[in-house]
Amino acid sequence: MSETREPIIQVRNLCYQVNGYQVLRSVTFDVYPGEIFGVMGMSGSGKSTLLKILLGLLPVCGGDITIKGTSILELTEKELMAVRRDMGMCFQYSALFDSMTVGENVAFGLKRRKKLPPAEIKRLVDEHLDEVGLHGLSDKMPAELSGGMRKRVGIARELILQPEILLYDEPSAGLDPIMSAVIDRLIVDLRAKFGITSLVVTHEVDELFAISDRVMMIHGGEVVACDTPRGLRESGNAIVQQFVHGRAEGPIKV
Amino acid sequence: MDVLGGILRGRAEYAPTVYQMAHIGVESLPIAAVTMLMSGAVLAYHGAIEAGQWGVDEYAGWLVAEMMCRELSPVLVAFVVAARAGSAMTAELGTMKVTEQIDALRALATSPVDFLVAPRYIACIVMVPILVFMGDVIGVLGGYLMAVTTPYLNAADYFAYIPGGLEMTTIVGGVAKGVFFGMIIALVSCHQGLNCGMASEAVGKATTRAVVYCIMLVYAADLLLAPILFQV
Repeated sequence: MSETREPIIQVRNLCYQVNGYQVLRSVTFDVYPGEIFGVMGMSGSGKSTLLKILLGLLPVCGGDITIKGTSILELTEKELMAVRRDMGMCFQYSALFDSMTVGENVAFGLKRRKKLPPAEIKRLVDEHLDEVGLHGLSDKMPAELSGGMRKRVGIARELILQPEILLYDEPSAGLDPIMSAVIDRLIVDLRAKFGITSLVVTHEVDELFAISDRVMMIHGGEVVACDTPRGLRESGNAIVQQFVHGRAEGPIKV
Repeated sequence: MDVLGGILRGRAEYAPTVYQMAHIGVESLPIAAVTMLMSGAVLAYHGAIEAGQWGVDEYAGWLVAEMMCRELSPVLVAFVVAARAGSAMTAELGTMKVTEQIDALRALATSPVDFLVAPRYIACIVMVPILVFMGDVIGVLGGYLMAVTTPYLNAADYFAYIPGGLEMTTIVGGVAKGVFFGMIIALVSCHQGLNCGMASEAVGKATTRAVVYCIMLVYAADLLLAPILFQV
């Protein structure tokens, strides 16, 4: 990715604490338009928290976040709504609205943003369910779907709104290897088709290295490395090496 | 204030509001009706004993109507709605929070207050007073049922003093209490649901807390409203 372009997401010295515990400290990174940017780290290292902070869902204790040139930390909830219209998030456990059908879930955001006739909404819902390989499941309830299918419904729910930035929280968590590969391919395809900027959070190193342009590692609430997958594999940082190779021995103590 | 602001700006959604009205109002009617029917009958029984001792047992029907409209129907209906619908609101919103559905709503640029709280608030302040009025009628009929099926009351005299004795302001005052009690139930239940912890146990605790707070606040509001709505 060329770094002469303006970053679409710019994070500077971000700090977040909860109940006095510093979850993130001085986190700084940029994400460029069209990039697939990976974030890896141990469970509980603050990766998912970072995504919620980028959406303005959690209050931070310091730093700055700029999304498409707008600093979001001082915005009111109403102003944040406008920023969120350009973003989407696929939650770790999908966060589908369990009292609505799959079709209603996918149509949810669209109905609120655009005045479209019901037939057009249905057409778009079916089209986007096809896009994620879930043809004909519009009338199913989320509880009737497998974990992988729910993840894809979550992606379709965001995709239909044509976001510029999509945040993925553990997209392959709890999925079998084949379903993980399907989701990974979908993330890459969405960038190719729609130019969507993706920020993928996971602790699955191989998956992340396969799809990301650059990967950032967070440990102890701090950024320990940010480089291309190849750069991280060849990194001399002992923390990165221990994590990438999944070794029990090393500077990361569990 | 966010809820009121959203409602005044017309941001509460129509379909969820109608659904909540059915859920909170229509579906609470059977249990509210049974409660009020029984309470009216028991009140008539006690009324008959007391009125009989004073030799004014023909006033027992009026006594039932007066007590139903002033106190029993608003308070008991509020308890029924808090226990049945308020607890469901807290559990539903709490579960949505634990499963990140509330975060998903916000991520989809939808205000949880406009989409979830406002419809429940409107449904409560509309449906609780309606249930209170229906409770008044059903309670009085419960008393009549006692009169026609037992020897304690004279069924022929039961309704005799209700039209002349029961004032419209008494009925309106009781129904007005329902508006305030509806506000309390909606706000407390939604607040507890949206602010519960991130564990299933926390949802259970929030639900219990919501019902307890509703009951206590309904009693407190009842105490404050009585001298305002029913002046001597």
